[in-house]
Amino acid sequence: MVDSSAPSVADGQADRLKDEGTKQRYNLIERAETMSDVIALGRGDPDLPTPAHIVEAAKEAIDDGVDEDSDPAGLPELRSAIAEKLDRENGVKVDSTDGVVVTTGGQEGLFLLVQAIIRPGDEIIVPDPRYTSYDVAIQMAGGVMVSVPTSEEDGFDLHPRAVEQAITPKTRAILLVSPGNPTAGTITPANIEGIASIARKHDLIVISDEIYEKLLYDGHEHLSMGSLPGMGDRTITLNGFSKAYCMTGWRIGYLAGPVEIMRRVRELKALCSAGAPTVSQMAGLAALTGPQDSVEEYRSIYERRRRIMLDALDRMGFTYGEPRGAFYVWVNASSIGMDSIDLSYKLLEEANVLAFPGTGFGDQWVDYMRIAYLAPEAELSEALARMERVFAGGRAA
Amino acid sequence: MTLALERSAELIDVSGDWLDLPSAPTVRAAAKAALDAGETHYTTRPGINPLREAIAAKLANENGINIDPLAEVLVTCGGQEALFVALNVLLSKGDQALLVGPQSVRHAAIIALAGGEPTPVAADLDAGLTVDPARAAAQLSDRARMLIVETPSYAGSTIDEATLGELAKLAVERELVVVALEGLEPFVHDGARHVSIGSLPGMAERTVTINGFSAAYGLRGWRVGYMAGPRALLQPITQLKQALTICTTAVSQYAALAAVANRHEIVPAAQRAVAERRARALAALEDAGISHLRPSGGMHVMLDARGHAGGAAAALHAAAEDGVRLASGSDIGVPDWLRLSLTRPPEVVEEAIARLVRILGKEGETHG
Repeated sequence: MVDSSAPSVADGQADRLKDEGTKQRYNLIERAETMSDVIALGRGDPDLPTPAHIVEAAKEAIDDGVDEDSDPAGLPELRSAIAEKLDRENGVKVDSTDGVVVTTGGQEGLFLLVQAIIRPGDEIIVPDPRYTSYDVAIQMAGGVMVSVPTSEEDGFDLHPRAVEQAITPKTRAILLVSPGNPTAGTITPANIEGIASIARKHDLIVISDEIYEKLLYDGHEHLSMGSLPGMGDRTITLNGFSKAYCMTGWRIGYLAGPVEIMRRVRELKALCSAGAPTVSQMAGLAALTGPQDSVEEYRSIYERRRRIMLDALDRMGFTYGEPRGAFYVWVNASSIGMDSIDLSYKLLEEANVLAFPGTGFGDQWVDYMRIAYLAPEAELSEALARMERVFAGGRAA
Repeated sequence: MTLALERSAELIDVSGDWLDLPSAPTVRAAAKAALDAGETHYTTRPGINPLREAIAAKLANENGINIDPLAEVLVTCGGQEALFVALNVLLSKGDQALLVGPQSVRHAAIIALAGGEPTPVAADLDAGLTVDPARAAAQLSDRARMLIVETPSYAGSTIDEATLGELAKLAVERELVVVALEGLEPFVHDGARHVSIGSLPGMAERTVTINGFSAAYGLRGWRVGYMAGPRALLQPITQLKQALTICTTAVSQYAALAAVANRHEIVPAAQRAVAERRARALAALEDAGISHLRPSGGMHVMLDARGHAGGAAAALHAAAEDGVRLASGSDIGVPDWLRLSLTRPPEVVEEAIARLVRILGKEGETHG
């Protein structure tokens, strides 16, 4: 019995929580969970295990009794290791004490950062398509998302001119995700430099989400925005351990950037969820300071799967933006002649394959599908064979 | 950082909010077994099913709160995240939230961040930090939306069943949401018992109960807590939780599952530790003639600094100079008082009290 006087959530709040893309994706996941024999190529959760030496380090930490909570910004030794990593690998220089905040996953990092820098009415430039789980962070801050189009022909690269066209007097920040989700495209180094000069010219903050930086193919390169001249004091680098070290379940990531912004982020982190889990932080420390062989080992596993998937998609006659990084293919399924959400359910119901609809990453992407190659090769091949059978029967004339 | 300070200056730190007991061996073993089993991936967003089921059973058996385990329980990255997402979803701009009894200044900060108006309802110091429901009622504005009720508190106080009943009536009359913070639930003293406001008549549909594993289970660094309440409120709160942290750390959830399963061994050990520390601290404070409140719950004793020349801030500073780090009362809205934490071993607490005689000792009488 629902009493009419029972409290509910105000409409305005519900609007700020609105995230149609995530809802679509999780509705599919939940449907798939009720079925058997589903090959999941949906969620960006690597099927590979966290490397053994990282797990062992966590178990040792548990034996040592790491029950205490850390500073809201994270364990000092982990912050130092992150600052060293950014300097060594990315050419990004940050204060190892006050310039780094360890977060409970990269997504929390983005949320905290947006609350720290965006005031109501501020605009934030976001490439389209996008990872819609970031929408709520922007909406909760009262920010306004301004989309910049990207396209298949150049692998969904982001062009400085397109970015500049989106700038208004209210623009506060640019959010970059490279390699990208869902497109698996990269922003080429030349375009990173072009966007940097626009950010300097218009005095904008750049949020550089580099969570997929270790997953690059065919010689494509990663350039960290924060390493460029004049960008260190206006760039916040977002990164973590989930994708490079298969550590999604540990919930551990980080933000690094100018001290004034990061101090505010630390204050918000204390209010939001306090220090990240200590065991996870110790695992993160082992990931950064231990052997790095697993990173290339895993990347090469993904590279083989990627080849299998692209060959199959080519056979099926699909096009896609060149997937230069990450572990997705952003497939153009317009030749099927079916709305992507319907297509996702068709694949799930008829092929027992879970893949995400394009509209899970922006309303207009009705022709696209995001397929994650996060299954062992045999399973992946089986999924592709099943898809081929379904499409052979269902392609529009 | 605290430990380093203590070593360098031989400062005794009795300012903490967390019990120093380690996680139980059974909990550690379960966490390691989960890692060995490959539980390193995202979990179901609201939390692994067995944990949500165990939490629901605990709430039904021990708190009189009956909820659907899979639709009305959300596992969070500690009670802090639970409070953060609850307030950010339940409060709209301009909504008034009453902080009933002594509460951390962080709560007011979260309300403000959510666009709400925090209104502290002062507790009566002369009556042992008790709360007067009539005072709460008088403070409600026409934008009143929420009561945040924390019992036991981090000031060593509790809210008794009769008062909770009055607050519950007020919530029903004014159609308020109640956020109940119960992380210190196991620590009620002198034969009193903990009552969950969510179990009182008319409360199920309007109460979000927040609890966790930090205080009594030794899992503070694992960041795992939970919230339970009606699905109309939990569902949108879960959306914000997803936007924030997707799910709670997998290994921590398995640790929490073992903690709930073994709570009949774990919690009494923590209760015994706090009871012993409290008894010895109270005896030492009496001997030292330090004016204080007799705590009815929680893990802190409030020390009266009103007699100190220069006030509580000066007393806090002087205590540190004499080698004792106390927590300030102003952190929880009780200025002029200092907080002595019972989270350290009894001999440490006694030594701290011995060092405080010069600053706070006097021929004063104790309150409460």
